[in-house]
Amino acid sequence: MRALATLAALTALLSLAGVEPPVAQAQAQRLDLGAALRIADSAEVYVLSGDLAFVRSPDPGTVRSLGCRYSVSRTMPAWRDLQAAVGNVALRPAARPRHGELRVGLVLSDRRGILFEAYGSVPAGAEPMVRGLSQRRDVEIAATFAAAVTGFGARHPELATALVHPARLCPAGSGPRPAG
Amino acid sequence: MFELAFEESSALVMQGGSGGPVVSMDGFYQASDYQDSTYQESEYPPVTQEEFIDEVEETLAGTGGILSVDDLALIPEAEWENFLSALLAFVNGTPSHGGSDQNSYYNDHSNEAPLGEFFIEQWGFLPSVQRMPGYHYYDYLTQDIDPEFLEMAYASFLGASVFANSDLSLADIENMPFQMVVDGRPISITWHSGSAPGANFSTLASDPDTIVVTASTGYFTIDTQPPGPSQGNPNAMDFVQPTLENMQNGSLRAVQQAISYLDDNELARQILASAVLRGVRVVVVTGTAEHGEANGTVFWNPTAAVRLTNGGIMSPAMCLLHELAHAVFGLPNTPTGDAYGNIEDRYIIQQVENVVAAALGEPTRQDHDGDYVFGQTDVTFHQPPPDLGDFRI
Repeated sequence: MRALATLAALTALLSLAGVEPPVAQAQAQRLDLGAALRIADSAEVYVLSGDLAFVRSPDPGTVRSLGCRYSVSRTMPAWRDLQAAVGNVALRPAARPRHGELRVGLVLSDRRGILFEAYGSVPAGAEPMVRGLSQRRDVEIAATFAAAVTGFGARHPELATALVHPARLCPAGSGPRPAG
Repeated sequence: MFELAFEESSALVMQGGSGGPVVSMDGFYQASDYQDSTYQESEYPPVTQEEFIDEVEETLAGTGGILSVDDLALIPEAEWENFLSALLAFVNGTPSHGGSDQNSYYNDHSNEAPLGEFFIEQWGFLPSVQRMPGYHYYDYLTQDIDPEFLEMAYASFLGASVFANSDLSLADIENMPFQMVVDGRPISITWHSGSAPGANFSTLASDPDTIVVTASTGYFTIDTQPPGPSQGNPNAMDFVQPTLENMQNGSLRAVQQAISYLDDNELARQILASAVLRGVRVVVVTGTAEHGEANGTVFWNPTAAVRLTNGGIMSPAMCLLHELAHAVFGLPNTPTGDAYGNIEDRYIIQQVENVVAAALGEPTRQDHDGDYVFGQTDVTFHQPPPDLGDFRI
């Protein structure tokens, strides 16, 4: 009990002093896409086809289970392309939840597990930021994220992995290229 | 994966036992003709044996496959002609009943038969159609011959023809079931040697969904897969059942339950009917798979209800309607930036789902959100939003 009170007091003091508590710092750090890209070993890119309609707006689980999945590891030439495509995408905590269907996703991992994940919606107009979800928190993500992720998939159809669900739609011609 | 296909396809495919050749006869089988209530103005009856063969040969043109009367040796031509005559007699025959309507040989006191523009075979799966007075015209048209039986009889005709053309020894294919798909209905045909267990075109006592077709040196058994509901009512035909593919009984019951439930609402009925017309396919998924729709195929999980943001629970059946509506409407999926997500979902929720939900006592919603509640055993299960009474913050 005393420890909790001490932590609460410390948090309040830090907040008054304009210093973020350790937990918030960690969250902010996890929101740093660029940092995650520098240390990740592999990435999965998801693109949920616009042809797929749902009873309720797709969530990250929908994007992962029904989106076309492109898998890439740091050792592949496409990794550099992924870094270039999404490395500079802006991401910030959302002041308030926004509307928008999550249709694209990016999951960065190392050998210990998932380091970073972000999901974004397709812009309805010319707005610079759209609804996103990262590290299970509502965020605003650059409207260019959807185009960057979709473009990566379009440039690397060979990275599309096996279709495990009948509704998982990948563009025609996607999938591993035959050896040789 | 289980599939229910609302298909209009008249494709016929026959595949030999283990990876044998596939013969496709698109457009050949026209089951709808003998049930078409507008037949009097059409070229009904469309099929004599010769026309039958002509159509098949036309379809087979260029494929190397041929078919002729001579190939029908396993079913004596005279016998087949007798069958066709019996089948068509009530169509061409002299009226034996009174009646004042256009269908003069059907004694329809309410003057409501046949069902006008409704094709019973198209809409007969809807309970609301079955309740219409004119529905029983269909029973009359088939003269107590189970339509399922008719399809099997056609299948036997075709199967025998293909066997005759196959250059296979009947001994080699004995007891080997060959799979056929006639108008979307899986049918199995098997050759047996020895004495037939019944007369030609009789049903097996042990299985009313299997018929016997006799030949000079043995007999065929032909049965539908899965068995149709005709076992319970030999003169009725569930018009969903014939187009089932790989469907398990539990899934079938769920689909039928949902259709019966939705059919109580006129708008929902229109969506169902439109889905059938457009050849929408319904794939029944299980576990925690989501409902979805893509390119005319609906993925439906009969156990998945949706808890709406207002706390109400929308039934799995209503979810099916939502997805069928997606398959029916061709609105753009352009993002709207509002709570509905995109143009089509906004239209469907506001103009279809909420209208039907209100009529059926289900909760409505003003967004496209919600969380799945899996594990439902009743596809109609729904709950209103919680009553907060006078509680205010």
